[in-house]
Amino acid sequence: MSFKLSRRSALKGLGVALPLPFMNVMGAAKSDGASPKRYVGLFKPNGVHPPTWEINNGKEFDFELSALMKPLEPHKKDVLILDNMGVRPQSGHNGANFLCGMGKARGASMDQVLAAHIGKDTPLKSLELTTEGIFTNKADCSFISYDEKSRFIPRESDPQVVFDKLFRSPLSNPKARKEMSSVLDSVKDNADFLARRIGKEDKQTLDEFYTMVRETEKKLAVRGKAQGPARDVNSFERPPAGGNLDQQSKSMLDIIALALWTDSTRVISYMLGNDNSRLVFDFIGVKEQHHWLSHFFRNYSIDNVTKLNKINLWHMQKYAYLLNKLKTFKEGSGTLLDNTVVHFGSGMGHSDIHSGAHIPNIMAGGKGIIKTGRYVNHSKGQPVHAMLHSLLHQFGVKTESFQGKKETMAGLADSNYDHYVEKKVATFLKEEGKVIKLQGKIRLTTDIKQPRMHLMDVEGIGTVKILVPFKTFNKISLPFYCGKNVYIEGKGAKKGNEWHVSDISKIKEIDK
Amino acid sequence: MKTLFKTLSTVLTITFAFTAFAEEHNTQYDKEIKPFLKKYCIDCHGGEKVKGHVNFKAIGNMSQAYKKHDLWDSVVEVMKDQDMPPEEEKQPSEEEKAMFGVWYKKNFLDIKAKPANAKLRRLSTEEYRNSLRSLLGFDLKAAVSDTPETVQEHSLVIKMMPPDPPGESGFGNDTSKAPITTTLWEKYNFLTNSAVSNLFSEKYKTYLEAYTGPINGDLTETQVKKLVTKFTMRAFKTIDCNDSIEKSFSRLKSDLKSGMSLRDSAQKELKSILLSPQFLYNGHYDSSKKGTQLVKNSEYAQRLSYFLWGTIPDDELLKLAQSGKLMSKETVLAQVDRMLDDERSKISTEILARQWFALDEMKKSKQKWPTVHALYYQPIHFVDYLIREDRPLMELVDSKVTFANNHLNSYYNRKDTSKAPRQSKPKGTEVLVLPHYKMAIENTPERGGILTMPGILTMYSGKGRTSPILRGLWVLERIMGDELGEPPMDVPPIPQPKKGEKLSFRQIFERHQASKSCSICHSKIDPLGFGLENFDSKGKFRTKADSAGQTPGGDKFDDFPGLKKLLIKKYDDQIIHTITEKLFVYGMARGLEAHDRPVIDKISKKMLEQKGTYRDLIKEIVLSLPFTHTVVQ
Repeated sequence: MSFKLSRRSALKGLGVALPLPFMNVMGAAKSDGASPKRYVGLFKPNGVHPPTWEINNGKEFDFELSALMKPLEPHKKDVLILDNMGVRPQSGHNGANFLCGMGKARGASMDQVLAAHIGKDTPLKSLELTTEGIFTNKADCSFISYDEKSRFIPRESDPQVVFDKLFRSPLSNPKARKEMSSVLDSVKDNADFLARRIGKEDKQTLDEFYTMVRETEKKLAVRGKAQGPARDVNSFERPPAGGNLDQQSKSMLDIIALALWTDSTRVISYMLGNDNSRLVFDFIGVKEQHHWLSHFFRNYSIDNVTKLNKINLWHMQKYAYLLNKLKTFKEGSGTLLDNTVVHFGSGMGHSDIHSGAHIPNIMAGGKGIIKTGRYVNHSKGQPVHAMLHSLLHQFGVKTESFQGKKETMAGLADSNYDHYVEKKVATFLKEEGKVIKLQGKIRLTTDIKQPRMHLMDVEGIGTVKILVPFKTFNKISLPFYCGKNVYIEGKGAKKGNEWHVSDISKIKEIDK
Repeated sequence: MKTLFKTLSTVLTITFAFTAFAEEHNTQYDKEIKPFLKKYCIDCHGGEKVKGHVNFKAIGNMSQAYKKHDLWDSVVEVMKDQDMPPEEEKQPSEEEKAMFGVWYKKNFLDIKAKPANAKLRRLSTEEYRNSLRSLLGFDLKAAVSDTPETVQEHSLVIKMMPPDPPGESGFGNDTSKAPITTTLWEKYNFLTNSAVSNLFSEKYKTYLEAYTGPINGDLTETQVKKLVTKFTMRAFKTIDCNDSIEKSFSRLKSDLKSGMSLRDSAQKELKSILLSPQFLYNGHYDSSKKGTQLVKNSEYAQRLSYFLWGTIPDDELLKLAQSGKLMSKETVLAQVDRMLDDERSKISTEILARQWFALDEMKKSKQKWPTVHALYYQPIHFVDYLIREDRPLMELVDSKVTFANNHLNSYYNRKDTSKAPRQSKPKGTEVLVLPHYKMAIENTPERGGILTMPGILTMYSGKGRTSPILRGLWVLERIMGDELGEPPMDVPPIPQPKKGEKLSFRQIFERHQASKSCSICHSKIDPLGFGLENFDSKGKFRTKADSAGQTPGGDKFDDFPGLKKLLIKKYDDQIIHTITEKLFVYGMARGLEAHDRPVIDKISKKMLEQKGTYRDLIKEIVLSLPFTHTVVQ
C-alpha cells in the first residue's frame, strides 16, 4: 500500500486546491547517485519597461547586463539571457504566454509536460505557487500552469501551508509520528469521556469519529516501518505567519529551495503576481497599483517610471535571491542550482503597449541542460512555444510537438543560431547655429538612479549625454526610441570633453 | 431560583400524553393512509416512478411520516386545489379526502410542541473557523497578497475545508447530514497543527500569555496547567470537563519524566484538545437522566452563543452557566441584547443573510470584484442592520434604509446618494473595493427592501435578459416560505412557436404553463416573477415593462409597486411566518420537525400582532420550548 498520493488525482477528486496534510514528502534518495534534474518557472507580472530592461549591443559572450538585470551581476556566468523572444506585435494579459507561449493554453503547459516525465518519482509531481488571489474578471490572468486539458491548475499562496504540507506532516518522520500517536491517545481518552455520557442515538456519530482516529493510527503504523527521511526536516525553520509581499515571497523562495533539495518535487511554478497584477509595493515606498504604473506611457511621469522600475527591480532581486539560495545547497560535486533550470519570464515585453515581442526570458543553472554565461539574441523574433519546446528536449523529453506546434528553437545549449547583427548607421554630431543635429543609436543609461539620462555613441565625439526636460521627454515619448537609430535636432553644449543635449525639437527613427 | 419557563410545564404534560397516543397513530397510518396513498398516488410517486422526487413508498411507518410534515402540507394543498391526482386519473371520494384531512389535522396541525431529541452536532466549517479564532485570539489566515481586484480567501480554515452543504434547514450549520469524513479529519489535523504552532510562535506570544500570564524565558509548570485548564474549558464549551483536564495533567507529568520539554508537552495537549469531539461537536448532554428536560446551563450557553455569534461562549456566558444562573428570563434577555450589541454578532448575521437569501449565487458573476463586492454586501449589511438595530420584521421587504457605495450609486436618485461621503480613488489606483455607507432612501421611490436590491435582481439574470422564473422562485421560497421542491425529472419540452409566430416575452412563459405538470408550480412562480419585470437584467428600474402578474394567493397586481403593496398589506402574516421559521431553524441549527410547528405558529402570530422586531423574535426563539429543552432517550 502506498501513501504517495498523486497531487493531481487528489485534485481531480476535489476540484479545488486542497493541501494534502498526510502526504509523505520524503522520497527515497536516488540509488544511482546521480542528482535529479529540476525546473522552476518564476513569473513576472506586467511585462517590463524596455529601455531599462534591454541589453544594448550585446554579443553572445560579451555583453553588459541592463539596469534591471544588475541584481544578476554575481550570477552572470550562470545565466542564459534570451532576447528577441516573441513574434507577435501585441500580447494580452494571459498567464499562458509564459509557459505555453500562447495567448491561450492548448494542452499542458511546459512545466506540466516536464513534470509528467521527471516528476513521477517524487512525492509531489509538481508544485504551483503564487502570491495573489484570483482575478475573477478574467481568470486567465491568475494562472501560468495548465493541465493536459488546458485547465488551470490551482495554486497555493500561503508559505506556511506549503511548508507544513511538505515538512510538517505527522507521517513524515519518526518524531512527528511519535507526537501524533500520543495526541491521538489523548483524543481517544476525551472521546471515551464523551461516549460515557451521550445516548445511544449518538453512538454512531462517535463511532464515525473513532474510525477517523483509528485510520490515522494505522497510517502511522505503516509509515513507522518505512525508511527514515533522507534529510532532517525537523530542523527546517517554519516560516512566520503573515508578513508583507516581500516577506511572503522570500519565505516561498526559501521553501522552493528546500522542496527541491529534499527532492519533494522537481517541478515548481511560482507567480510573483497575476499577469495584470495590481499589487501595491508599499514596502518599497510605492503606493500606486503595479498595473497602473506598468502603463508608463499613458501614465507617464518620471516619478511613475522610477516607481515602476523599483517594482521591476524587486522582481529581479527575488530572482537573484533564489539563485543565491540554490547555490548555498551543495549537491553532488556542485550546487543545487547546477541541477535546476530556474526560468524567469513574463507574458509580454513592453508593458504599456502589451507587446508580444522582446518578452523577457532568462534561464539560470541547469548544467548539461542549458549553456549559461551567454546572451542569446536571435536575428529574428522567436516564438516562445518553440523555445519551451526545445527546453523540453534539453530535459530529455522527446516531444514531437508542444502546444500543437512542431517548431523548436536553437541556442539554448549551442551557438548555432542565427545571430542578431547590429544595423550600422553613420553617426555624427554637428552644430548649426543654435541647433545641434546628431545621429546614432539612442539608449537609456544603465544607471537606474538616472531614469531620464539617455546616451548616444557618436564616432569621433564619444558618448553624448541626453537629458531633456520632462515636458519634452513626455511629448516625444523618448523611451520609445531606445535601442533604435535616430536622427535628432535640439539644443546642447559641450561641457569639458562631453557633449550634453538639453532639449530635443525633432526626433526621427532612421533605420526603417 | 426564578425559573424561566413556567408556562411550559403545561405544554410538557401534554407532550407526555402525546407519546401515549403514538401507537394508535401508527395503526391509522398503516390501515388507512397507506392504502389511500397506494390507491391514488404510488403509481407515479413511489416504486418504479418517483415523479417530482416524491416517494410515498419510502414512508413506511408513522414515525417516518412525522418527519415529512412539509410533504403532507403539499398533499393536502394539491388535493384541495384539485391539482392532484391529475384529472385523467381516478379521484378520491369526498369521504376519503375527509379521512385524509382529519388524519393530517390530528397529526400535523393539532400537534403539541415538543423539543427535539438530544443530539451531537458537528460544527460547521464557519463555526469551526470562528471557534478557533475565539480560542486562539487571532485568525488563522491564509497568506496571500491583497489586491482589490482579485478574490482571495483570507481564512485558512475556509480555504482548506470543503464547504458545508446546506442541511435540511437550508443552513450550513445544520450538519446532521454531513458527518465527519477522512477529508474533514485530515483538515482538522492540518489546521490544528498550524493553529498550535502559531500560538507558540514569537509573533503570537501575547495570545499565549492571555492564557498563561507573562512568560519570561521558559514556560513554568503552573503556567502550562493554567493554559491547559482554561483552554479545555473554553474549547469544550463547559466547565464540566475535569476528567479531561486531570488526564492532561497526568500526561504532562509523565512527559516531563520522560524528558520532554514543557513547551512540547503543552503543544501536544492543545493539539489533542482541538481534535477532541468535545470541541468539534456541540450539544453535549448527559444520558443518565432520561426524558424531556431543560438543557444544561452549559449547553444553553452553547446554543445562545452559536446562534448569535457562531462561536464558543465567552467567559461571561461560561461563568453564568457555571453559577447556574444563566437560564432565567431576565438574564437571558439581557444576554441576548449584550450579544447582539457586540460586534461578534456580525459574523452570525452575515452567515444568516448569505444562506437565507442564497447570496453566494452573486459570486458567480463575471463582473469586476469591487462591483460584485458592492452588490454582495448590500443585503448582508442590511440584514445586520435589521437585526442589530432592532427593526420591525416587515422592513425586510419595506425599508427606507439601504447600504451603498459608489458602485451602487447609479441605482439610486442623486439626491439620496449625494448625502453620502465622497469616495474617490487615489492616484495610481485603478480598482478599489469600497466600504458601504448607510443611506436613507428618500427620493428613490422604487427602491427599498431586499427585493429591490440590484444584487438580488441581477443574480439570476442572463446576459441582457431577466429570468422571471428564478426571480419568482426566489421570492416564493426565501420571502414567502413556500417550498416547491425539485422540478420533476420528466419535464416536457416547452412547445416551440410555429413558423412565423412571434411570441412576446410573457407569451413564452405562458407556454411554460401549458402542461399540467409544469403549471402546478409555474402558475405560482412565473406570475410572481413577472412582478419584478420593472427591473431589467442589470437591476435598473424601467417603467415601460410588462410587470403585471399575480400572487400565488390569486391577488392580481399591475406592476412592481402593486406587488410590493400586496406583500406588505396582505401577505405580512406569511412573510413574518417565513422570517420566524428561518431564524428558528438557523438558531436551532437543525431542520424543522413537526413538533416545532406550534411553536413557530405561536411566535409568528405574536410577532404579527405586536408588530415585532428582529430582537423580539430572537428573544422569543431563545425562550421557546425547543430552544430551552431537550429530550434524552
